[in-house]
Amino acid sequence: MDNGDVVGGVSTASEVGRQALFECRGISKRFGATVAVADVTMALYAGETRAILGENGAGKSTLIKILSGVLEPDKGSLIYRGSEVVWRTPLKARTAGVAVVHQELSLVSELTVAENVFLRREPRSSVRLLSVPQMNRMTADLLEQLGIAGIRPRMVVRQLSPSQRQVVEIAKAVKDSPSVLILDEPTSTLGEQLVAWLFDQVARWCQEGVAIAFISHRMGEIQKIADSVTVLRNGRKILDATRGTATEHELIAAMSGRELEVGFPRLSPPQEQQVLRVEDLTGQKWPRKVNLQVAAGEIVGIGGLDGQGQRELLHCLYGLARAKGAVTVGRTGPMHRWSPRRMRDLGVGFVPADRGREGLLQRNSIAFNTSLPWLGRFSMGSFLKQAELGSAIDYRLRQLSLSTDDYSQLVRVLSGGNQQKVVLAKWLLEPPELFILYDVTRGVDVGTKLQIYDLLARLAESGVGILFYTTDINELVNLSHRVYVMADGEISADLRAPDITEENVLRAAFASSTATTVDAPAAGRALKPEEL
Amino acid sequence: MPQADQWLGAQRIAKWTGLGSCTVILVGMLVAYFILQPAALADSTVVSLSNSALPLVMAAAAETVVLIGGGIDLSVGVVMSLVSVIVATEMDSSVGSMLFWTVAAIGVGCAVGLLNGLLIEYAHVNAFIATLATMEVIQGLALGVLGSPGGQVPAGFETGTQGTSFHYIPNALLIILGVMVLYGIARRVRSFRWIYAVGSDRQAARTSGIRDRRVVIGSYVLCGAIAAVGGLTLSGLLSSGDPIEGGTFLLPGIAAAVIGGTSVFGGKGGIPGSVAGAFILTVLASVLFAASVTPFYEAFFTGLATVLIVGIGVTIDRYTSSRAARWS
Repeated sequence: MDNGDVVGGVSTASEVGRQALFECRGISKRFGATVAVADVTMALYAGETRAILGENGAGKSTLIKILSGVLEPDKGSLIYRGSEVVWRTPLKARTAGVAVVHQELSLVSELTVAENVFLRREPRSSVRLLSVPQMNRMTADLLEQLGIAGIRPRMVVRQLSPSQRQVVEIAKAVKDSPSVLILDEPTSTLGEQLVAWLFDQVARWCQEGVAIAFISHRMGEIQKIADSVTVLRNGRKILDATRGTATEHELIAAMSGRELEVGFPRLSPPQEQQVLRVEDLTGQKWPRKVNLQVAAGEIVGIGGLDGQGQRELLHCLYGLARAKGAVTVGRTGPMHRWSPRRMRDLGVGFVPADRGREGLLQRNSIAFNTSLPWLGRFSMGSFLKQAELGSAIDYRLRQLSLSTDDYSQLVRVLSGGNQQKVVLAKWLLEPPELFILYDVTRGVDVGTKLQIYDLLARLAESGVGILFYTTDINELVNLSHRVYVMADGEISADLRAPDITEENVLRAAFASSTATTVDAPAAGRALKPEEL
Repeated sequence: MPQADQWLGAQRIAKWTGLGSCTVILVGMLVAYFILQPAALADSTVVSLSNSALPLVMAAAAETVVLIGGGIDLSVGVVMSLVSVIVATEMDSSVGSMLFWTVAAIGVGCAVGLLNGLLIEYAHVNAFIATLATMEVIQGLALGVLGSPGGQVPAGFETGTQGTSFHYIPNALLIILGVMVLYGIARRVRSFRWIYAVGSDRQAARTSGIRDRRVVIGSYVLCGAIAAVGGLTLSGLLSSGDPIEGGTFLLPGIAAAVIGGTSVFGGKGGIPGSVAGAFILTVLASVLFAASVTPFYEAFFTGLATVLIVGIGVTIDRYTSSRAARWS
């Protein structure tokens, strides 16, 4: 993300006279007083990939729901294969050939992979009864055809990792060879290797003449696969560009509505004093004998392929999962038993992976969520010091420039980026000594990302130690004083300032040959660093 | 791919814990029963056990369907009562009348289920509250039809439930087997699976194109229908109608379903488990009686057993799925 060069090569899209495969014209949709999508016109062409860009709350999700029949537009029309269509239900759109890879919504966790892939479109025998073996066989064929190993049709989805679920979601969408495929942030849960796998597949589908819409927050990805780009902001189409006609700067400016400095904050040097020391941390399967340190004011990144024990490491560290080993926080001696409560009391803040489920109470207010870890600190005896708490919350949230000033609003009405800010605020009410973050910028728009980077840099400057895991390698490399790379539950590299490069991180990530059994595609073509 | 195999192994265990542990416990209790009461090793015991299990099995089966769909139905018991009093007051021994009132009774069950479903899905009344309300209403209706136990059911109905076929197989047991066979077929019907999908993750089911409201309403209708059949068997077993008796099967029915591995959070479970659960509760009562435990303590031990069995099931489930899931 460091250049302002023109994106890509030759212009191919929207030549005059070509007919779009799927098109929306003048689409508008409002929810109550909020205009979600206003007068959006967009065309998808066979064999082309269109990226849809926009910050959280720009209307991308609503647009996709309209395109795929989940929502009906208030105004405007959809034109599919040259004639106007009205979907009414997702199934109609699906049977007509418009498939969606949803972000996280469409898999049923209690059902098996095969049952999910065929959900609502189950094969039936002549007597109209299901054949489970047939369903499993067809799913196995489908997975094999897509080059996916390690996922079996009979596995229950509940037991799959987020990236595996995403792969199943993709398999489900492409099952009946759709002619239009909409991918809603498919890469946010995938590790580098699976992203490469997905891009191979996208290229293949394009060749087969599928029209693809692709949503991502990552500029690099868009540069790599998009033939054209549509930028949305506040529900309106701001920019429509073909490959090679817009710079990254222009795209970001269009998304955010302001010129943004695309860059990472300068980091000030860490202090001497250690805030965290971990010795031989070993969990049930992962992590395995992990040793690491974090100094005050130091930002330490954890990298590696997705699902190599990073989540388990952070969970064990915070006491959410059982582990052996010794942990020293600040001036405590080495501890052999610890709990989330103890960690919090020692001044450790933790932002979990799934902000929707683990980090926030969706049905409570912003203020209530923020106050939750601090009720003890802001009370006298059993009674809360309401006013004091209120002003502390107000102060913190204002610093994070939330989209709303009304902190009595329910968390669930906020967009993803704003929810993430609430999670951060929750732990910053009283700044911790050590901050553990799990992929905090996942699914967060560029503007909010930059705010979060700045926030982390400022926290570090004030002496907070930060340990974070991220799936975005760009972020890992540019935001860390030091990087630990994990492979198969072990730390395979400890990189310092001049050595922190994408190439080194990837080399260490692929160091362990056993590392990729579960997540990797079967064909498993080796990735060259320069491809990423 | 060793990891994948481990997962499947653990999953298979988890899948069968409900039914498996139930069967083990059931066999254990039967053995205890026959040791305590060797005289009970007779045809008549099998008949009486099956007979007393039958209405509970039906209540549990009905409840299982809505539990799987993520709901709960408190009106199952009173539907059984209502059907039993209707049958006892209206049905005569002509084949036409029996057929008509059987169909009508099932219709009544479906109608109550439909009402529940509509209240929940379209009036947005919480399932617990909605079915609590219909429970009261139906109880009132049942008492209106017949104020106290009485009436008469046709002789065919009596033998159909109380008698035996092929010399010694109790008809009640055959009815239960029939329910299991129907369940086996239902498992392979698409719309029945959708109940699992909706109960497990409604949003995902909707996104996949399932009409979730219809599926939920359908689960209540099916529940009502099964409860109505339960009411028919109840009146056959009692040889008369009873406006109160049916209601006593509601909570044991839920307990039986949960003992059998059905999740109150939806998406998980099945009727075979509930059948096993119902038999466990029935046999337990007999064991307690055989061990000459004061009837006052029967409820105490039933509660204890429920907590124990469900606790064991949950623990096994946690252990096996933690093997597979926690580190994935």
